[in-house]
Formats: sequence, structure tokens, C-alpha cells
Amino acid sequence: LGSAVDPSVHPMTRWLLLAGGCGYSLGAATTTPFSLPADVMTAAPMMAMAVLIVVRWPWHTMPPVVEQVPMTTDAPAHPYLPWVLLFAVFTAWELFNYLAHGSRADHPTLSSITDAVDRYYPLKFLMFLGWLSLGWLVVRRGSEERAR
Amino acid sequence: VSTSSLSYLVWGFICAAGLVLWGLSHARKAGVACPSDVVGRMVRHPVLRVCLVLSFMWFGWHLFAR
Repeated sequence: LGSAVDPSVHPMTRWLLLAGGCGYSLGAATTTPFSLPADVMTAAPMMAMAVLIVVRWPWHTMPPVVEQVPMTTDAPAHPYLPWVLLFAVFTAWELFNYLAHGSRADHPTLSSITDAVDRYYPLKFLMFLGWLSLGWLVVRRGSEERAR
Repeated sequence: VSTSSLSYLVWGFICAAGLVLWGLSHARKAGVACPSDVVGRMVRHPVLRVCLVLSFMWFGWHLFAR
């Protein structure tokens, strides 16, 4: 999805990626966990990602580019801080529910919630498509490092 | 309020907060980095990039395969 709205990607490539991702996710959503088809359909994108990372990512990272933006009063001081805080709250709540005494129904973890979501084909399709999109975003942003 | 309802309520708040941040990040004046920039920042860090890739793979395997 990230590439689908990225203006730097050629429109034809964008649509091909989106169509391919949707088609693959439609197939993957039909599989049942703990089965060979589920293993294969999940492992294939992971292996593709590993290959793309080896081929396209630089071996060494470079420090972030400091953009020469004129200082203004409304310039964001910590644009990443809200995401870091949200991740901290998410992790704390997940750990609390995982370690809390009582039934999983009383203390649902992300896994138990997604297990319930997985029972509905359209939702599982959307989850798989989101996972693929995130993987493509990670590969693409890492590849930009080499292009710099 | 039951324990279960409270737990789901907190999950709902976390999910809503994520959606709000996502919305704010696209209104550039809000001063919140968009998710793509967060990922871009993480892949420039020698340790975080490895954590990001391994987390992605683990989540996929955990959610869809096992």
C-alpha cells in the first residue's frame, strides 16, 4: 500500500505491485495456520525480503541527513517522539496482558485478538496485505540509503 | 466494568491513538513524522534495522503460519 501511494514509484509499477500483493494475499488468506500451505505462503515473502535486502541494501548505514530547514517557531522538535511513546505503551500493555494471571479472555494479547480476526477471510486478507506492504516499505526505505 | 471489557477498551485506545497519529502525520503542520519516515529513520540505524527486519519476519510467522 505504501508503494501504491508513493509518487516516486512509476504508476505501472505501482499498480503491478498492488495487484500482485492483493492476489498473493487473497491466496494466503485461504490457508490455515499450522499447515504446510500457510508455512510456504508466509515463508516466501520473508525469503524474498531477505534476498532483496542482501541485494539492495548498503552494508553500512550512514548517519541521518541533516536537512537545512530554516528555524521557525512551528518546526517540530521531536517528530518521532509520539510514535516512540505509542510503541512503549503498546509494549507495556502487551507484556502486562501476557504475564497477568487469569484467562486469555480477560487479558487478551495481540496474538489472541489477531487469532479472532483471522477467522474472517476479508480481515485476514487485509492483515496479510498490510504485512506485505510493511515489508515492501522496509525494503524500499533501506534501498534509498544506497541511492543516496 | 469487567476485566475483559477494560482490556479491550485499552487496546481500542492504543489503536485509536495510532490512527490519530497516522492522520496527524499527514497534516504536516502537526509535527508528527509519518510512518514511512519512522521506518526510514530506523533502517539508517545499524541495530534498529536488524530489529525491524527480524520483528517483521517474526510477526508474519507468528500471525499467519504458527
